[in-house]
Amino acid sequence: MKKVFGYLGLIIALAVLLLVRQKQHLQVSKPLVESRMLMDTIITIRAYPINSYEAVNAGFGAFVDVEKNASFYQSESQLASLNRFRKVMPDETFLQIIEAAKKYHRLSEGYFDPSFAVLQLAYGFYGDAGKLPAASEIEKLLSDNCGFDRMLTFDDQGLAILATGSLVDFGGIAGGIAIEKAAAIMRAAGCSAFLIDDAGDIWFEGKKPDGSPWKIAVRDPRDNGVLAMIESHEPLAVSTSGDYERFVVIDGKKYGHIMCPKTGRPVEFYSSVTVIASNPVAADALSTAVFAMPPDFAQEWCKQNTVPALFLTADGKIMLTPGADKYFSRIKPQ
Amino acid sequence: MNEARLKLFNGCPDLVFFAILIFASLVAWSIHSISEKLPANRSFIIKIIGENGEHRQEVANKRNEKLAVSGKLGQVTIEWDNNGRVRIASSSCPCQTCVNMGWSSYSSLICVPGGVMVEPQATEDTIDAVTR
Repeated sequence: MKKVFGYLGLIIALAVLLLVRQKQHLQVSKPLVESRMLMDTIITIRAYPINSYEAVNAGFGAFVDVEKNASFYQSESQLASLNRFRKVMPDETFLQIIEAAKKYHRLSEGYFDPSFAVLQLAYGFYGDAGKLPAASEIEKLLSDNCGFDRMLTFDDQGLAILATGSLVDFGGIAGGIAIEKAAAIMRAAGCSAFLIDDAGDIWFEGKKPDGSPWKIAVRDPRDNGVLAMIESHEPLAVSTSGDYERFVVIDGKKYGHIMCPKTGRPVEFYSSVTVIASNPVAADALSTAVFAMPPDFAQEWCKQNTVPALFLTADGKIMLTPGADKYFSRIKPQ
Repeated sequence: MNEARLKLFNGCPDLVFFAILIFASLVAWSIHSISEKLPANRSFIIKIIGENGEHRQEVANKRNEKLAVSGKLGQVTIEWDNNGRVRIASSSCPCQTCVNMGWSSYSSLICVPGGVMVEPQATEDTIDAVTR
């Protein structure tokens, strides 16, 4: 009888130990997840360990800083001043945004171009309703008011000067800059592993406590399911551009917001393009740029610049660039 | 033969006890494994950001339901389908970007002008983020 009680005691002790260990494991493996409305969208940060609130809060500060500089809509932002007064003395963050935009404008051979805002305006993207501009208007805007390098210049004192009639929107790169700044802040604050998600523009780094890889789903815009998965233990930036969230409807037809530098019209090659890069600025800018490229040119350009990308074409075909199968898995069968 | 077995057990109560213990452990382990594989209950945080700050509301396990909340620009209707996916079904905002975001299982939804956010709560078996 004594033996039975002895065994029962042993079992209870083991059960208690198991429960305590399980609770500790849950505490360690659970991330801190915080979402905030910033930069006209949702920013979500997942961070380990769970007590990383201060680091996460500081990370969000980077988005506030970039928004203050690069918001198209906030009248007191540096970008709003530039668009309104045609000149502004850029502070450090705004200069960083302009320089990054110029870099990716050149690298993408003009397919990434923040000055296409003037074309988006003509299509009604900044108003309540879409409108179809005349062909002559598009041609004139394209030749006279587009071309970021030509439209935005600096004088000898470092004043940024925007050409008359032009308009700039950094929506295709500001998110990447903010993610990069937030990541640097969180890293410095000692956050061991984290993921920053700016409405689908994603950066992750560090090892999760349970040793599992970071798992990113690529959304299939046709059924809102999963088009493919990206699973990685290594730091990566992922960004997707599509025509299914930001568009205008004119006479029953949808027009996406990404413009072709050759025609000045919304591109219609793809439903979505997902790009992987080694930093969030590149991923953000290049997903927009590659979305604007015709398929053959895009494949060649991505190959030459070693940009892994997954394309869902407008007619439903799924294409990968050479070497991209190393990153994209569980691709939906065609 | 049966007598021999009984003798064996009578002689070794520890063996019986350990056999029961192993069997019980296997049963408990199976139950634990199955429960881990069951779909997690999905809960959502709805954040409404108004002039008086942020108001949070947690909702769980919604199926085929609609919920109307008051945003900055008027009513925003959030809808759940049979599979627990969520979408912003209607909004008083002018751009309708939130409505165009469609159904979502994992990623957050937002109506920026209306100040309404629908945020699925993470579970351990979910993916970390959705690129879109």
